[in-house]
Amino acid sequence: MADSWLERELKRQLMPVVAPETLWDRINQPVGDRHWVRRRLTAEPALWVTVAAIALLAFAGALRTFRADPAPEKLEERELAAFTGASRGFDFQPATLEAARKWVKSEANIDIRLPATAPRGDRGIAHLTGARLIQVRGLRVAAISYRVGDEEATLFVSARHTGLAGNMGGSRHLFSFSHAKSSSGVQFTSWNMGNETYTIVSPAAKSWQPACLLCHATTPG
Amino acid sequence: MVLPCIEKVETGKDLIEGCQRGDPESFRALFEKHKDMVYSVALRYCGNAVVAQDIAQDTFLKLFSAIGSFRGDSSFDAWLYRMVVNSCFDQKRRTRRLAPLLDEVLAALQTPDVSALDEVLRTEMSEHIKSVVESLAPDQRMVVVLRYTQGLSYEEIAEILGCASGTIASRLNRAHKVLQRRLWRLAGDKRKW
Repeated sequence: MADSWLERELKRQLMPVVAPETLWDRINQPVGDRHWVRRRLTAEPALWVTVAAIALLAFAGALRTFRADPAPEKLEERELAAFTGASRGFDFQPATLEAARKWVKSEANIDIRLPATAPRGDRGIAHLTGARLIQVRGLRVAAISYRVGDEEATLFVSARHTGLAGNMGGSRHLFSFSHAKSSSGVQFTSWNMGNETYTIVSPAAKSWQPACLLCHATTPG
Repeated sequence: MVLPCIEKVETGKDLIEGCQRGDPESFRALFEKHKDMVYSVALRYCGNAVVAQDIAQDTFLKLFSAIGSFRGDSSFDAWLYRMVVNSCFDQKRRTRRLAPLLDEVLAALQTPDVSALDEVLRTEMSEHIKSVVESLAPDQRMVVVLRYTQGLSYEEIAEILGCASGTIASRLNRAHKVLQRRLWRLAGDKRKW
């Protein structure tokens, strides 16, 4: 088998191809959104006030939901629970939430809404232990693991249409919280925000509230 | 659809400056100019259309985010190639496979008698080339893709991968030998049937 035959075949089999038409849509959407938001927020300071007001109202509504009606959850519990903690290793060790956010954005094009650093809260501060990208039923999910005191938790974020938080997939509200304990010893706290679905998985034996300290200085209740 | 030939495109300074100003039309023009190259490298490297789209998307998002920092110290095309290459390597790191390592060891234990191959086997083997290329070690596979999909010279590949052109020649030579061994083994397996 001469090199010339092999080279000829390699050229033939590895010819360049035309990119699919849908590629621009996949690329353009996040870039367009990012520019639009930046322009609007720079040009219209009043928008900041509106955003802050919506966030406050939503958070208040969420707290009420937590207390009143913890909805039963039928999520992909086993799939998510298998990726908590460090047992499977991490793809990235972020020093700050900002680093984690940027890494997830660049690796998976998922926009996670996180503060730049974890705030020091009334029960301590969340320490990041690692981040990884996983596939749940072929869908890309970002997982950020962290510890508050001796409690470990993992925040999973996926594009909302993935239906990761199964019973909330059709919701059009900005925020939609639910909380449940599973029979397998973990608890799930899920909500939708923007285009993403967020799910925090923490041990059922512990209170779920310290897990909120990743982003919030105070815990609900 | 397959492109009729390998086309090398130079990226104009005006287009790059337009992107650096945030001009949406320049972004689109830059994308149109390079989309086939980016997608082709990704597809030929990973062998999967869905993953290739992920890699291409990742590459363009990185490009659009970082183009403001491009100062023209090296050629834009080499800079973009490096982004595609890194995205390909990153993607593979996320989906590490151990099987090729075992394959490599098994292949090394067999020395082919190349003179025994006839035309029938060659035809049969050509069908396996893509899958065998996908089983190459990442650094060898990338050299093969840049060489045969993009038609780049050793020097151009060396600039993109940040190593000497002698290293590229050596990697390509090793890749050829591995490909020959594996294709020969596949042909041998088929004959046993």
